[in-house]
Amino acid sequence: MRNLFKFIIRYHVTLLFIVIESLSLFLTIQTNSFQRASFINSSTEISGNIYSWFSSITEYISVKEDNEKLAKENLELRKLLKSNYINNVLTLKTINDSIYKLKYDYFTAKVVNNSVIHQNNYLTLNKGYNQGVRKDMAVINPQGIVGIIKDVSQNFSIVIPAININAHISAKIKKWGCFGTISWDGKDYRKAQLNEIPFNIKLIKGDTLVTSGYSSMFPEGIMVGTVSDFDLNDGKDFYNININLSTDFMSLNHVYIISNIYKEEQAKLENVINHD
Amino acid sequence: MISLLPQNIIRFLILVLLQVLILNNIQLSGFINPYIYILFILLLPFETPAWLLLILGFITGLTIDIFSGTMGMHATATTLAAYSRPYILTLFSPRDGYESRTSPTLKHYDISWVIRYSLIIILIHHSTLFLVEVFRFSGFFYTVLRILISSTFTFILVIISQFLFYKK
Repeated sequence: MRNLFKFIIRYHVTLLFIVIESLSLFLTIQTNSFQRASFINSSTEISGNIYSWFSSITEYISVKEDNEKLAKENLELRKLLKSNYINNVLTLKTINDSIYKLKYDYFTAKVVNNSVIHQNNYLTLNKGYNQGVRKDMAVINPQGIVGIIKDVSQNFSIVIPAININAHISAKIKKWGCFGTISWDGKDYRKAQLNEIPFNIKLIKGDTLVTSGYSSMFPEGIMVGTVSDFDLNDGKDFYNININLSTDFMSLNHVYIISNIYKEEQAKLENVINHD
Repeated sequence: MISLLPQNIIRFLILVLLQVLILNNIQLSGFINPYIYILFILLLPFETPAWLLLILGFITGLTIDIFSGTMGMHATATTLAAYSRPYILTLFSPRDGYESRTSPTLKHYDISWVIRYSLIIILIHHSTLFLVEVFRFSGFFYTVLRILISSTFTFILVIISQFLFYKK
């Protein structure tokens, strides 16, 4: 027993080091997996408040660019206004529209924290549970897709952007309709990879990619990016495709959160199949 | 002379805020991200006991982690850097040891000593940080490149701050 105490006293620094280092590594492994501890939620609340205070100062720097982006989007929306179209149907009657039902609901949110240089990049948004944001909602901006809500606290939410090595988003080639998965190799925040496109598809550089609508998070047809280059591995059935992301992740500021009203219904049905 | 405790607390706050509010947003070409907060560990007084160094390292890392949303990564790296500091100090100690009431800065020691001391601790810290971040050995040389480039930038910032605040 005395020898044990002697040992502990002699090596107390190394022992303490081993304890603290294991604790840190444990935390790292624990939280790198997709289920984050609820402890993080409360700390997001604190750091989120500091970030939103700071970004309320710095957002003036990019205000010009943001205004341009918003003005451009306004223009696009204005073009869709009903008053811009001439009615060339001669006979008119009102019908009670039971075919179209609202499927997707949109919220606006502001990015209060952002990173593009890590392997596991995350964004923090200034809307949370109290504002109706839930896990697994889709996030886009006027340029294209941004990511998926991963975790929600009372007033903030965390997004896994497309540029996170764990992110997988379903996308299709607009011209052909064949779909694959977007993933990121952790290198350049302007590029991503598209997998699972079979070799019989004829690709050309610059082909447009949009969301497939199969994932029940993103509506169909939201811009993802364009094909920048591709090659075919010998003996493999699938292309290696590099794509240019249309979203500029470096200058994210205002984003839209999309909630699919029928998501739960769809997920419930699909779960029944998966469990059989 | 400001006494040591408040001086270090203020330095801690300034470095953490500088790191999370400004340097974490630099992100040049997806490669370069200096981690200047390690300067807090570098500048602690010589008399700091080893166990306190470890705890301070852990707290510093954890604070940065909370702000970067990367629980544990910075804590792991900073704790290792703090653990290695006494050994580095012994390795580079002058012939008659360190004088009491001096700090590891340009004010008391010459530039070549400061460069060797900072560079080794920065390399230990950054290597751990980036290796823990990728957590695998695929793309090893890409990680090494990131370690070297980011270490260089942190090192440059550390030396600049030494010249700004501690020049004789």
